[in-house]
Amino acid sequence: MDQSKKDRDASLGAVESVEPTDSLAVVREVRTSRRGWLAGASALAAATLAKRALAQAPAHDHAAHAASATASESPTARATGGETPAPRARRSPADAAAARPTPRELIVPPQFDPIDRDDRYVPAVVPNGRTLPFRMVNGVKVFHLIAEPVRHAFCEGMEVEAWGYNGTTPGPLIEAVEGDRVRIYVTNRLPEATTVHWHAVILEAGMDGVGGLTQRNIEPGETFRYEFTFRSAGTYMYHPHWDEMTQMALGMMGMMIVHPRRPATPRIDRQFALMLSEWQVRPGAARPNPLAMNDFNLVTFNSRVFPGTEPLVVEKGQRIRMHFGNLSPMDHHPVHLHGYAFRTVATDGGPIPPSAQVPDTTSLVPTGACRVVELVADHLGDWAMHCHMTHHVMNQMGHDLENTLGMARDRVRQLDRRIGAQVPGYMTMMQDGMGGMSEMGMPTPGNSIPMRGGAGPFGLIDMGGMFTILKVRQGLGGNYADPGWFAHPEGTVARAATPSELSADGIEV
Amino acid sequence: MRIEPLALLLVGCVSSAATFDDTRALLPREAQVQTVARRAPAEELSARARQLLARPLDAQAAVEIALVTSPALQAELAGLDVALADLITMSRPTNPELEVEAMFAREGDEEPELTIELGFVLSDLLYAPLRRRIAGEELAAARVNAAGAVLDHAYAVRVAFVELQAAQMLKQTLDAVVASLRASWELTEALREAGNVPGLDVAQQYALYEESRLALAQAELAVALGRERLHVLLGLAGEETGWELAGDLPVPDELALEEDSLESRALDRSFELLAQRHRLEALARRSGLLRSMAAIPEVHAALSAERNGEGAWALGPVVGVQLPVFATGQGPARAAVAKLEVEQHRYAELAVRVRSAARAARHRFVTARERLSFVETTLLPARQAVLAESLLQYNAMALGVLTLLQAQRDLIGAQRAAVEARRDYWLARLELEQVLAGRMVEGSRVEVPGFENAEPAGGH
Ligand SMILES: [Cu+2]
Repeated sequence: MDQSKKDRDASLGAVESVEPTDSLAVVREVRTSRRGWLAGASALAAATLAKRALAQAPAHDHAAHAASATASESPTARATGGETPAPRARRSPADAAAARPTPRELIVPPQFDPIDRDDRYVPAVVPNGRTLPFRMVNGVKVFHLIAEPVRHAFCEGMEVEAWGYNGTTPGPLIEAVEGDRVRIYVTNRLPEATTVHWHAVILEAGMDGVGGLTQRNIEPGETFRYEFTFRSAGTYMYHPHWDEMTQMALGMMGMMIVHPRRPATPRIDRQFALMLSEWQVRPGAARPNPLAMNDFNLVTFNSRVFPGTEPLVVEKGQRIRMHFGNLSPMDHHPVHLHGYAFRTVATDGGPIPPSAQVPDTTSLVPTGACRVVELVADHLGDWAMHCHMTHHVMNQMGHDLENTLGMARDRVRQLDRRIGAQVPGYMTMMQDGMGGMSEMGMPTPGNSIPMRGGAGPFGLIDMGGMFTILKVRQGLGGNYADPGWFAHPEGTVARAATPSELSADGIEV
Repeated sequence: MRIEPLALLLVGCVSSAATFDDTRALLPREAQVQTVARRAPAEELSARARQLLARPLDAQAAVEIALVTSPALQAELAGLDVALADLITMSRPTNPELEVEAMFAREGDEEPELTIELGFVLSDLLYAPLRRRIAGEELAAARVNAAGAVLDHAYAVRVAFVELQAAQMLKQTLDAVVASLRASWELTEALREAGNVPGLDVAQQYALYEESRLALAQAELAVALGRERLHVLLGLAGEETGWELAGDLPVPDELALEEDSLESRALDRSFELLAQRHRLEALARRSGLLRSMAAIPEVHAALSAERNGEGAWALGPVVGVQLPVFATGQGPARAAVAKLEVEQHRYAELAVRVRSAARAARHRFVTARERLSFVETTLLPARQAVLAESLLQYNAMALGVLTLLQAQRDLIGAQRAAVEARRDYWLARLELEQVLAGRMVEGSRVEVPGFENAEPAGGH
């Protein structure tokens, strides 16, 4: 963060300058929000009921659905219930470092403003992320995006100076409903100009956000105003269109879900927004390298790498959707889900007709595209979901080193002795394979997670990068906090064969 | 060369041994060269020297051996006896002359006439003490020069010793480079055995390894030549050359530089200036002698005995005086005065050189000390950090073994710079200590790139 800028903002705030600076705007926003909270404490029930009635009156016959969803969708439910804002409260211990409140977090409004929430849809869950609050002003949903540097943790032990929106990368999810008029203010607190392009949204050309082509750039310190109508439901993205090479490599991107005015049937119980990206940060460095074109070494779901990715927790039998949006600088990601076949029901171009939907277990999400996959969660278990490019499930793996695989044992001993005499602490690596490298406990550069995996119920999960877990459980009772590891039914876990089993089946080893 | 007893009597109590003792007394204590001793040509190596050679040899032991065994130094010391002999020669007057003349008659049978004459150069007896004082000054100058030669020799031994130790340490760094490249080569060999790299990778590493062995051979040669230089300085040959070098270049201790008194100390102690002063004294006396000789004509005296034909003896004195009509003696006297003036100018020039040598030695020392400190406190840690960080990156699989070993060789490069800096520190310090002990250094060993070390004139 730019400390001098913060100081300047703080001093401006102190003298109550009439010139509305960025920080003053934020302060006001916080006050508004806090007032909302205080007012909400007493008037909450009445207000929400009234709004819900208003919203649902015209077109919806889903009152029961909406009500049950409000009760069961944990983050939003708890927020509307006036509890402590939920998203950061249910982080795993591994995320403790990342969850440390920063000054930015203290002034960012909670995930859902209790006054201005829209009850016509089931809000999407953003693992490791947030949804952008809005305010209704004369029938227009008003949002405020702040493009700015952010301190970002990929997982415990790995923090970088990134760029994002409203304190995070990816930027918060923007949710709206088909036909909504939206006004989105964009404040630029970056050291350089930016714009916001509303990727795949059909809108007036002058709102398309391409620097130089459809607008002049938003210079540092300026706030621009975009206004348009979401004509169709769909899954979209937003990202800069000025120096996007730098700004997207640093993390500036976000997703948008526009819910259908008339919800699809059968109803969707739970949906997740997952932004796919990739980064280059050398072990020990602390800023993503925008010059990288090939050797990306951190591949992320919502800018997080496993073991820093929050699991996707669902109740058995729920119909779920996963919205993937890929804004990786150079790569496409074949996202593979274990335990299920799914159908890809939409792209950022719109819904796919049922006749064209094919069953699949891997969805190739090209860069600059969205894929929405749907399934019914009817298999209990902890199911891996990851990019199937094997190098995309590695953390900070280097590629410019000798391949020692298969080197003879006595050779390794000899080399360890010979090189160890020259470089104390040296040890030959990966001659027998690379599994569990992170457990060797060799000292590595500070702020790095080379070959890092995560703890699992049966030992190390030797994965990193674009890897997460779909946890399907029964009887969650609406509590979507991480339920822990799956308790496998007796006799359903692979194990070592016993000698008697081997001989009974005629297997000789 | 032995001095004849008769000659010793004639020149009083000046003996060869006493001259050597006087020479030794001139040597400053801190130079640690008091053990210098005379030794007959082809004399066996002393028990002490054998004892010193039997254990790992350090610089002081090398100096101690050289002070008693170096033929070059012994030749310098023997030269003292030549000066002593000159003194004897000059102290003796011209010998008396005996003349016998016989005259035989052509006719008759008269006895032959005989004339016997014993003649002296009287004025020689007068000048003898003067000549002796001149020779005494020249002997004193010779003693000073001999003491200076002892210091020169000890300095040469110490310099050669430092350079040998440095050569040995530099050779060891190349051993490490060879070991590193050998590890790189063996790694690629093992990778090829595993089927992971083509022969090219092995060939490249092998070539680098063999190249490093060539460099090592040169370093080994430098060590061997460094030992040979010491053998010459110490006068060792045959079995005596099997000695073992003790340890590395020492870590420098603090040397207190008395900045204000450096020049005056060098001047006070200067053997060159002292020798020149004795020479000036001798020249002044010679000039006085020649002027006296010019003023007082040469006087001969003789006793003459004569026998005539009848066999009667007559006895009588003869006195002769040289008439300074043509050779007045003025020429040699004026030449002596002129030569004295020449040498007085030389003395002034020498004093300027001694002062400059003290300052130059100080500059070299201060710079060498700073360079050593920089290399040890900045450069070495910087390279160590590169290696440490490289190991972390290697552990993080972000960097390969070959690159890691390259970082290690870069550190060796810094270690070589540290050895050279420590060597130059000691060379500069030896030079400074030598100048402060009263002896200028011919051809400084502290090399300055882009600067030709001027040869300081020895003044003799
Ligand atoms: Cu991928």
